[in-house]
Amino acid sequence: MTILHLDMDSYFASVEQQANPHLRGKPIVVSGRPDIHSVVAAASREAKRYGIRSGMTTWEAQRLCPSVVFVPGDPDKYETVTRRFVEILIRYTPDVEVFSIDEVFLDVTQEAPRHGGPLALARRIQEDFRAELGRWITCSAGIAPNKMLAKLAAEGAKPGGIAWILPEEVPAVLAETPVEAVAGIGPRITKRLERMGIRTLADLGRYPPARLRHALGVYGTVLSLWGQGLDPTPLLPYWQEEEVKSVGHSHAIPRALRHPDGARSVLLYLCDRTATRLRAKGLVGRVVHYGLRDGAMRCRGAQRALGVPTDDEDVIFQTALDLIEDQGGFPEETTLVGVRVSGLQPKAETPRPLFAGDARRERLAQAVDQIRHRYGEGVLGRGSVYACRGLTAATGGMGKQKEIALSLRRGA
Amino acid sequence: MLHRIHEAVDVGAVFPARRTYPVPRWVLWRGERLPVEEVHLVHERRVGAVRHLVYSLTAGGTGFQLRFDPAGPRWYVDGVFAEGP
Repeated sequence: MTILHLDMDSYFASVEQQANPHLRGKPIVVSGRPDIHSVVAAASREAKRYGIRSGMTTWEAQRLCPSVVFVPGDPDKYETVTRRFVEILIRYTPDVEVFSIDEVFLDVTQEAPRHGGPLALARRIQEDFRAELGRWITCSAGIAPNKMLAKLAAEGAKPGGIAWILPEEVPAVLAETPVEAVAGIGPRITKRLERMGIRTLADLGRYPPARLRHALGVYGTVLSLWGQGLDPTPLLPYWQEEEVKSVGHSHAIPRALRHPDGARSVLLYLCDRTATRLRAKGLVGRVVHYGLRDGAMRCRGAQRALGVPTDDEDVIFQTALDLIEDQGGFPEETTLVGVRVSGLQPKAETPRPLFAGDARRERLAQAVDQIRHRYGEGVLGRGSVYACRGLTAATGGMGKQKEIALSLRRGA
Repeated sequence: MLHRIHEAVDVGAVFPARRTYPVPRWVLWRGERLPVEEVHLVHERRVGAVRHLVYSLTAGGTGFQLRFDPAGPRWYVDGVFAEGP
């Protein structure tokens, strides 16, 4: 099997530099507003030279590079470009997995020989991207016998390069690759493995699988396989993408709204957006989750299963609020709020509302949805969340890959 | 950075047979007809039920964000790219 992994380089930042020539060659980050608790969603190559990385706070990014330019995120832009590059790739093979908004896997076992081999195919794809997306939007490519190794190869080829791990090279790669270089092995697991005397993938492969399983459960089995250069994870092509398992929203909160009343308004706003999306998908959900982050960056959350699945924002809001109150209420300063609904099922499979009040609320929600769909999301809303209207734009586009894959499957 | 404005403008565009979107050739901006030198990026933005097309381009040496509303149909300058914040 030959897997090709493509990882867009400094994606959001590259797209912004492609769109605006004034940003080219400069240290830029795509982030939320720098005056609130924002994080860097993407840093350009130039910004990375200063040590700026994704996930860093905007405050830290500015400290490392005072001249860094903050660019607000534009999810529509990134989603459009992702759709475009996936459509380019589908011309080569239908076996394209949209792994994230900026990463894809392709099974090129059949296709590569037709293009002079996987290396030539990867180069051709890079040229297609340059010609059709713009010369500032580039990708790194990794070629290997499985997804784990292909992703590792692409990481080593950044930016804009191609790396190929041949089957006979796998033992050497395992011997020189530290465990933390593998996606899916975070700092906590790395420390645990270190205490077990495991530092490289080869160490992982030599460790008795039964002991790894005992220490880390099912995850230990996966790690043992990775340590042998194996990855049983199948490539999930876009046309096999499963429907979403949960719907939700979270947002960093502007300074002006961090007090409990403001955080409550933001929660209501996010519940409204979540409910709107559920209705748009024809889904109801049974489990409501919330998440909060306070001023000291401590996080908490909880979930509750409902007796009757819902797509009603007031039910979602009240459930989340009850959970928050049960755990001591909103903190004095809330910097992030999130809500999510899971346990999804088609609304068509749920009983119709029994009471007139519920039926009236449902008709009202449908009318509001139709107005928003026709004229735009921000055209109609509750007065109590008016202050939150500026939260409509997310800084990222993360989580969009499933929607992109599903829409490609439907031919939208 | 993008200095946001919102002005309806006259645009001359072609509709290539092999493209799914029009390609602007000139923009009539504040009395001056500016030739489009390069279209850097085209993306879609959903406004209600309508998919608008947003063009990041340079015309007459100035960077513009131009938007096409197919429901109008009408073209707008949404912003001008400039150096600095």
